[in-house]
Amino acid sequence: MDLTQPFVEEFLRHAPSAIAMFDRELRYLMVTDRWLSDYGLENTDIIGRSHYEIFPEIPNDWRELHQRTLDGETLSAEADAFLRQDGSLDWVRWRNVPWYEADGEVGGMIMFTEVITDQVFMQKAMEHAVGGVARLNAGGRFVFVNETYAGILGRTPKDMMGRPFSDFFAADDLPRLSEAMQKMQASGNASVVAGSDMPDGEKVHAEITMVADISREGDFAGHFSFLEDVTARVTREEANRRQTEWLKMTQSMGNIGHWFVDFRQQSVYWSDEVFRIHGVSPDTFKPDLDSAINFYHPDDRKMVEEAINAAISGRKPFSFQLRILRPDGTMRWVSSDGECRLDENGTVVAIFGVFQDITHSRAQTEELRRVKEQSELAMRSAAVGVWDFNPYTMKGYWSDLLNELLGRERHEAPTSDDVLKWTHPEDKDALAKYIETLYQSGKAAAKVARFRHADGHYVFLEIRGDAIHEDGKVVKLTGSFADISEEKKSEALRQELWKILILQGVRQSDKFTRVLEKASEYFGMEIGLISQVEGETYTVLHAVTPDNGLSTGDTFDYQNTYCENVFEADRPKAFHHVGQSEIRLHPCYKHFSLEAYIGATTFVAGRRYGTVNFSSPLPRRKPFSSMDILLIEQIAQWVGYEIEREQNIASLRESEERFALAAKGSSVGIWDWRDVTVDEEFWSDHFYSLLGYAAGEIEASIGNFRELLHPEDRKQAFDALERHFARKTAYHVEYRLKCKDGQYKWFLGTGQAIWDSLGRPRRMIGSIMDIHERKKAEHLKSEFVSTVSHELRTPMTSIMGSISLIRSGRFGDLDPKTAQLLDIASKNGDRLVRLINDILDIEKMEAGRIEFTMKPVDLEELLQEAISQNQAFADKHQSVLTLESDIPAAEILGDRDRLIQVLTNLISNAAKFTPEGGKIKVNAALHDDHLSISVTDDGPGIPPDKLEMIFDRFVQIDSGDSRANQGTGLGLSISKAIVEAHDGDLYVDSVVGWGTTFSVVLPMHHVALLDSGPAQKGQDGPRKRILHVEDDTDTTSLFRHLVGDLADVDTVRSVVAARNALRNRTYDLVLLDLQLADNRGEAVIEFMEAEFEMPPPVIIYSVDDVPMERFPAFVLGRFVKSRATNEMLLEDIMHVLHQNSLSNRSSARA
Amino acid sequence: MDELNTVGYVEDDEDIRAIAELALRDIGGLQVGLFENGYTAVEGMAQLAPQMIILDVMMPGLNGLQTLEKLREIPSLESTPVIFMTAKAQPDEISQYKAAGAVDVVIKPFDPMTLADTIRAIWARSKRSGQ
Repeated sequence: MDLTQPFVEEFLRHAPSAIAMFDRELRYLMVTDRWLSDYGLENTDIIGRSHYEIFPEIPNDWRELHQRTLDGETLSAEADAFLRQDGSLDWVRWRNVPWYEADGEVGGMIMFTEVITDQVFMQKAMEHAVGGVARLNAGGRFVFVNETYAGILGRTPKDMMGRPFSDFFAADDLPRLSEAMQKMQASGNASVVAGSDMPDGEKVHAEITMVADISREGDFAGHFSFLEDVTARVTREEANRRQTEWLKMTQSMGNIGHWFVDFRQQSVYWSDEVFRIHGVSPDTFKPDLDSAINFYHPDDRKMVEEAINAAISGRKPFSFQLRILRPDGTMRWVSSDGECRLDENGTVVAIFGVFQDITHSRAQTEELRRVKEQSELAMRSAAVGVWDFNPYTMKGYWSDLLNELLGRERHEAPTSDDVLKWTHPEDKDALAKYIETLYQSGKAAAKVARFRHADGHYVFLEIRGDAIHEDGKVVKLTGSFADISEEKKSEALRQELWKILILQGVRQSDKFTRVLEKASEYFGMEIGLISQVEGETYTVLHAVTPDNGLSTGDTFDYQNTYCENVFEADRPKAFHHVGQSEIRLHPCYKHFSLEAYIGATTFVAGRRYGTVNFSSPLPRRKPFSSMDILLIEQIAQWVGYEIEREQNIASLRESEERFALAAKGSSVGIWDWRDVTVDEEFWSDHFYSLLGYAAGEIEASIGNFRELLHPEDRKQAFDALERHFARKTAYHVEYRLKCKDGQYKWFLGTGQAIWDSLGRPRRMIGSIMDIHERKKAEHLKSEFVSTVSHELRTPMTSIMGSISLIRSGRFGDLDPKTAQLLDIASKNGDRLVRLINDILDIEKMEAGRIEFTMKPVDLEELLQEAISQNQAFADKHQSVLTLESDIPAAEILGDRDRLIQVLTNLISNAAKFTPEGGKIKVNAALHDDHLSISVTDDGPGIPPDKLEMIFDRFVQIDSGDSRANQGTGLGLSISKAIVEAHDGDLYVDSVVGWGTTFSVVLPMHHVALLDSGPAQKGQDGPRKRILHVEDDTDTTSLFRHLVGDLADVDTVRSVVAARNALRNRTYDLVLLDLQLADNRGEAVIEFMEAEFEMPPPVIIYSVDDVPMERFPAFVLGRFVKSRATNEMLLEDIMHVLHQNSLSNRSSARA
Repeated sequence: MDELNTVGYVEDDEDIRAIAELALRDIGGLQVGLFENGYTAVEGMAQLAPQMIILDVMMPGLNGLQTLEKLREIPSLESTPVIFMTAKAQPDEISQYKAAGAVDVVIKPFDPMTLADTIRAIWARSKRSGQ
């Protein structure tokens, strides 16, 4: 092909396509003009030069494709990105065709290209947005702008093509734009709101979303820019922000009225204060758009109108002063400030304003400004900055103060992106979450986060925020931040000091030295002292000095120390430069030239003790902060506590030593269960020696104590412990402990727990006392008495039996003399048996072993019985024994037999000591708080000087009557003991010559009043229902048989079933076995106690004997299966069922 | 058998045994088999086949409780009501006897004139309650 042919040249010049012809080395042979223009080339530049030399940026994959064409392939692409050397990206449609030499060899290739960047861009743009779109090359120049994009900025695409991005946006916003671009290049996209000044002078706010255009090679080829007009929104936000701030400010001033005019609702709102300013009442006056103006001074009306109109049209705040004429003729000067509220379209929908009465003080406006300035000043000096964040644009700005705090030398305010960048990696999520919380819920507690200082360290900032709402939606988050690094450092030091002070096992002086060292370092003071002030003497207790110039025990004249200022003061004192302070004339300054000082008073046991202080011969660069003051106060407090603690320990140790000394001398062993949750105790040396062990020979623990306990005593000992823990009952138990030699010895264990504020036992201290000899003696005594009485009774059985049989006459008639002698023998035999019984009773009562079976006993019936039992005896003594007629209808909770014993004793005494024909009256009377049963005789009476001794044993009053010596002399003391066992008392009242009255006084908790006569079993009221909780089938069937048709019985066999039954049915009584297959029967009682306000009465019927004290009051009695007869059980059950007055009193304890 | 006719009485004290025999047989009209200790009782009680057994507690050899235990091993006597008649009758001791299976306890010294009535009453009660 001859390329020099004129037609070829013509073609090349005018061909509408970009075509280039290359040789095998891809050197340009010829190009069309279009090629040159498309790629910005000059013909002369390129012919003969390599394509790759001209376009070194041609990627390798293209080069490979070129090679394939040179090998004979024709290749093409519909759209391919070509990244230009200047960074711009072109989209190209191409087709590469080989050309052949005459010999058939490939001579090179012809390249057809068409730049289709615009079309491709549009395609991409459409994927992203329908609004304004533009494309910029890598250099930031517009290479495509659509109409919308240009229109938003008040321009045409033509105006903008080829021009740099920065030409079209406000200079103030350029830093943010360039930052956004950087972010977009780094992360692919970015968003920013920027202002643009339109050619017509209007300002438009646009939200620009940038999307990076990345080449196939992954290189940045420019970006797409999407534009949205957010002017209305930004204006609104700006206005609302100002409004919010301003409202907050005015609110803080107080006494300012608010008003607003809602144009949509055509309504006017006045706050109470506005009504007051206008001199009208909200009750009688309703403001509207027209009426308000009538209050304005005529001269001011025009001004107000203009100001408001200007504000509405300009969407700007307004501020003016006007005179208000009140209905009463008075005039007020008022200042009014306000703003317009805009809707989404930027239309004014309302005006908000405040009224402030400035009649009296027109200077108030001045005051407002001053306060505002002061607060700004305060914020600056307090290192408080502000931040805001727009949740729509996800953009925020922080005050310049942040740059300052973080050592960033920048001129623009940090953006939220910067802040995030500087945030400590560990705090990033928390900060994001904080913003999220604030956005979601409108409020969030202050957040502390760390931010990186330019020099690498982290600064603690406390961030606080508020959500600004509009129409119920959060439109903005705003808040403040403050540098709290000092607080944090101070806090860290406080924690460190606290840890030092609470260290165990470290000497106090070492603790104090470390505290002083740490705090000295913190305050930057070289001298740290802990002192004691006594009178005029200042004594150094602990000192930290650079040259050890001061040491413990050094004393000074108190007046010569700065501490003089502190000790009597309520607050710590701090001087960072004494030479320039009010105490520069203080003798301490003269004597010691200490320039900086901070100190606080220590209190020990609530009294001034001394000081903690730090000082330095050099002035401190920074004044002490309030944080430092708090810190020194805290240190002083802790030091005081520590001194007090040590003193307490010392005095405790002293008292413990005294106690240990005392304990050694006695037979008491001490135990200390320091933490009742831990199986670890302290046993004193004597504790060990009491058990025959060497101190520490076995481990002191509750576990080992349990092991040492006699198996029979374990339950009792631990039950008592539990009761003590739970109910603070006395812990006083006798138990046997196994000694080292394997023998058990008796001990009395006592103890006292210490409970915490929640009522949980924490610690328990107690003792064991060797009572083995006493127990042995007791046992021997009891055994002796029992045996002796048995041994005495056995022959008495024969003697008395024989006499009785002979006296009966069944074995032959008796002559009168014989009969009389047998009577004497019989009478004295009876007396001997009574004596034996009485001695046995007394012994048992002393040993506390007498058992009382407390059951309801009908009073009248009891007295009748006592009368009938003693009638014969009284007859014999020719006494008239009568029961008074008006015995109250009542029941006594008591041991029937023992009460009869008392009455018998009293009646027989009366009979014995009353002359023939004497009268003995038995009576009972109810009083407010007691029942008294009296036995009155009209005998000779007891002389006053003998009254006191009659209850003593073996005392018999010498009445000169031979019959007196028939008693044992034990009766009254036994009677008194029996009555006392019923919580009652036995009194005697006697007038010589007139008679004697013995009164048994019983408290009302042993008495139940009956409405009418004795209960009729099973006949009154509705049928009663009993729940029988028992897992032994023999017992349940027997019980059913026993109850018969007197009541309905539901039987359950487990605790679970019992709970269900109790929930579902109302019972009049629960008969409970404590040993159930699935659980302790006590669980039923616990359930009832927790579940019912008025639980049904419970009678326990069980194999084991259990102490009644364990149970709540609604447990009325207990029967031990082996001991109780069926009659006894049935009798009690019927009693409980039909005597609710008694059962409700919950006092029946059997 | 609605009426008590035959009782077995075990008592080591010869005098008391004699008095009780008079009281139960002569005064009370009961047939009484007397045994002087636990061993003889265990040997001969079954043959007597009493309706009720009265046991002393404090006896050499087998005491009353041990005697009861042995007697209960004899099939024909396993449910014969037993009364302890003893001077050792403190409440805890009485509980112990009842726990061992005694229907009641008669305390010495007893009144020979009323002993049989007492025994009969106890017997009647024990029949009523099915024991």
